[in-house]
Amino acid sequence: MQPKTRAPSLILIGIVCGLLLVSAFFAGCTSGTTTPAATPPATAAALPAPAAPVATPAPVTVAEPKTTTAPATTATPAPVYTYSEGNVVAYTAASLSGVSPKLAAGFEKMYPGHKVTFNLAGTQALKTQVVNGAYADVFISASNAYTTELTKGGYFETGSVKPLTSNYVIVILPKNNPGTIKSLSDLAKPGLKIAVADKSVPVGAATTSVMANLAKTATLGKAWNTSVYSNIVTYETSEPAVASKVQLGEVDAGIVYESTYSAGKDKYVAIAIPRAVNYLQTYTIGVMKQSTSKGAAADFENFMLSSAGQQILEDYGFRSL
Amino acid sequence: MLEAAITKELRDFTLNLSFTVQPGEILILMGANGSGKSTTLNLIAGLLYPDAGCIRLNGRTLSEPGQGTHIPIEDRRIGYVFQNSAVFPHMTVEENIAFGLRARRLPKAEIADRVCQMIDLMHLSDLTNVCAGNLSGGQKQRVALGRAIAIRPSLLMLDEPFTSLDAESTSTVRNLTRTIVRTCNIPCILVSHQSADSREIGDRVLQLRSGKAVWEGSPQDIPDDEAICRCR
Amino acid sequence: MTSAGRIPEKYRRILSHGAAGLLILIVTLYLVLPVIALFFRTTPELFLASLADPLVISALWLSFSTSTISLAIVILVGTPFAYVHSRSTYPGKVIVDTLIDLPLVLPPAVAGFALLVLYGRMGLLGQYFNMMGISIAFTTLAVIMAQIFVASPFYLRQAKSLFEQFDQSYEHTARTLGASKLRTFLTITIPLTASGLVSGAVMTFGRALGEFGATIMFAGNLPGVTQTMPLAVYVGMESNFNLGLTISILLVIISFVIMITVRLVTRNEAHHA
Repeated sequence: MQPKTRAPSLILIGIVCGLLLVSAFFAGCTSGTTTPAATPPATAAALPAPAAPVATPAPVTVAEPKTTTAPATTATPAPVYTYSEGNVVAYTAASLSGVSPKLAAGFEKMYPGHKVTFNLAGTQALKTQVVNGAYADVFISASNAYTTELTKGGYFETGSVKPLTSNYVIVILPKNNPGTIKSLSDLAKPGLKIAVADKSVPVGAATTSVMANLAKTATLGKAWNTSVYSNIVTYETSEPAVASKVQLGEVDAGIVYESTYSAGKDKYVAIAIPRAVNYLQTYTIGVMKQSTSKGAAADFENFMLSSAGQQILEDYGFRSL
Repeated sequence: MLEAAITKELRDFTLNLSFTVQPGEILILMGANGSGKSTTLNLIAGLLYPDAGCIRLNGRTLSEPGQGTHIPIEDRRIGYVFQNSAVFPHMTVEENIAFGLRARRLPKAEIADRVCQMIDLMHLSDLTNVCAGNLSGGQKQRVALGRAIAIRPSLLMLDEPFTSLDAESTSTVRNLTRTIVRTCNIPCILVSHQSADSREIGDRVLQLRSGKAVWEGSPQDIPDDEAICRCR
Repeated sequence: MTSAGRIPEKYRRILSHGAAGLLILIVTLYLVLPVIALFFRTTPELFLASLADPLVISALWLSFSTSTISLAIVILVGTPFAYVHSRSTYPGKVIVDTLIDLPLVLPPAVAGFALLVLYGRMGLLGQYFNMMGISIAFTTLAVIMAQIFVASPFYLRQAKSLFEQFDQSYEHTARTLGASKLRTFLTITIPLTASGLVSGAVMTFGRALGEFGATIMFAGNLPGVTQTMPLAVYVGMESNFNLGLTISILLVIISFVIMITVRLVTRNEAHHA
């Protein structure tokens, strides 16, 4: 047809694109330091960063003293915002998915006229979103490591970060226990399918910790640890995803939070992990510096820390601190 | 010799024809658009299935619905030249002409021989290795004709072969067609609506209207063909 | 109309060329800038260092092997299917036609969930496979099945439309010359529709390579077994930013190279034809 006009224009396109790519690379060379505090400098060594946090609550600001046994009818602090700022966007760890409707109702009851909207996802995903500019009024984190990271990055309103609640880790099995698992040592049975969360997800990091602890015990040991790891068929990207694989019966066991089990006793059978080797995940709540409804956000934090909020969490299996 | 008795229910009318074509004879099939000319060729070639009747070529039954006989297209040994020549654009002239021979798995030497013959016959010698897609209309029709004859068919059919050709190419291909038919002594059906074709190379003419033969005779006696061709 | 009230011819031409050029620039930049931004976020040293990471290598290998297998299956099964479908009429053809497009409108996560509910060990069919000792979910096979499900429409629609529009006189001629149906299909139909089929194949490969939602639902996320490059990017973004970035850049470069190569190859074929 018209071979003459095709070849030169194609070469031209190729050269232009090649130039673009090359220039971008060289730009990357020189602008390597222009990235904001977003990129965690500690992981620049390009190795998979094991998040294994220490099994104690991180040193955050001192929590308000509260009594968990007092009835919920104590006077609530008066709202400190104008009516128009009554909407709260709460970036919340996915493990609170089940309890979130109750929390929303409780918040609206305590502070009539406000609404809270939850953005539920793995804490790691939420952190990435916020760091890349997403808007949130409140951030509920399931991992001290991420809370520290955000605090260091100056994302929280000073003094607003408080411990919220906590959760232990537990093993759940489908209701009909297809793998006939009766104890933790059974998890090493060959041919089992186990689901856990990826180590970037807070409960995944907790799982790694717990597995390491269990490997040190006399009854289980390293061989058990290796066998269990070889039974893992998937590293999910959020805690509810692990639970749903168990609920569907597609895996024989999953490692999730105790709260998930407490809220779903009709769906699962559980095998408890002894406290001594377990990992207590601490959740924190904080108001975001970028928030334009700081008053409402503070009210939400108050609600969550109040006996009303704490009771709702406890009813869902979270452990108050 | 071709003996065709065809009945087929079509959308607008029923095709009902019966005719014979002798070896070395060129039968011109004339008629307005949609009168069933191309359908007739397709039925003989085996691309369509008749509802009733019998098609026999040199005594061999190609199609007889009553008896459940239907020889597959590729076994009928019919050379068919389409209106648009349908030369394979991704192959050279040589490959086009050799196609049918290769399909029949003839020995290489014989293929080369026959292809050479055809190329000479069709005056395509300087185009042997040219991609068929780059040829002119007249050249394409010569390739199509050479390709059809290379397989030594027992019947040659051409569907409006000269429509998109200029006067000179038309004349060339017409003469080639007549030469081949007479030399190979095979029956030939040529569908056309140009009366010049009938006059130049037709031995007999069959006029169709709505699937039925309305006139049959020799080319000199064609009655007011323009009026018949224009009517729908 | 007098020329007094209109913009002079010279300026109208400049204006229309300028507008066209601006349009092209806007579209091109919108597509290209996000990709370039990826490159700006890393340095060549970091990038090259990440390349040696076993996670990157296993994700790369897994993605390419599964996508290639998926493509091969789609082409081998889909081409004859599209041909038969386009050449025949049968009751329910319209329904089949619509079903081919179904994966296009289904959200990938839904597709993955559906596959899990069908082929998982508790699934409608999966339970029988399980009884025979065959597991499908959480295996590399599941990755391939998910890819085939979401990517096949790209090839099937293209092939179907190519065959429908293909001038059948070529095929008819070949048959009368003595070629069987199969020979006609292989030596005439395929070569003449090849460049269209290849472009359908490229889209299919790209879609399979980028598949995420259905994969993570049905196949899970296990490095070396089911962690394809998109999954590694997603997981890497949160735990190891540079790893995620490296894999993203790799995906871009490789996809670009494949597409350009294919375009060049098919352009040469078109010349020949």
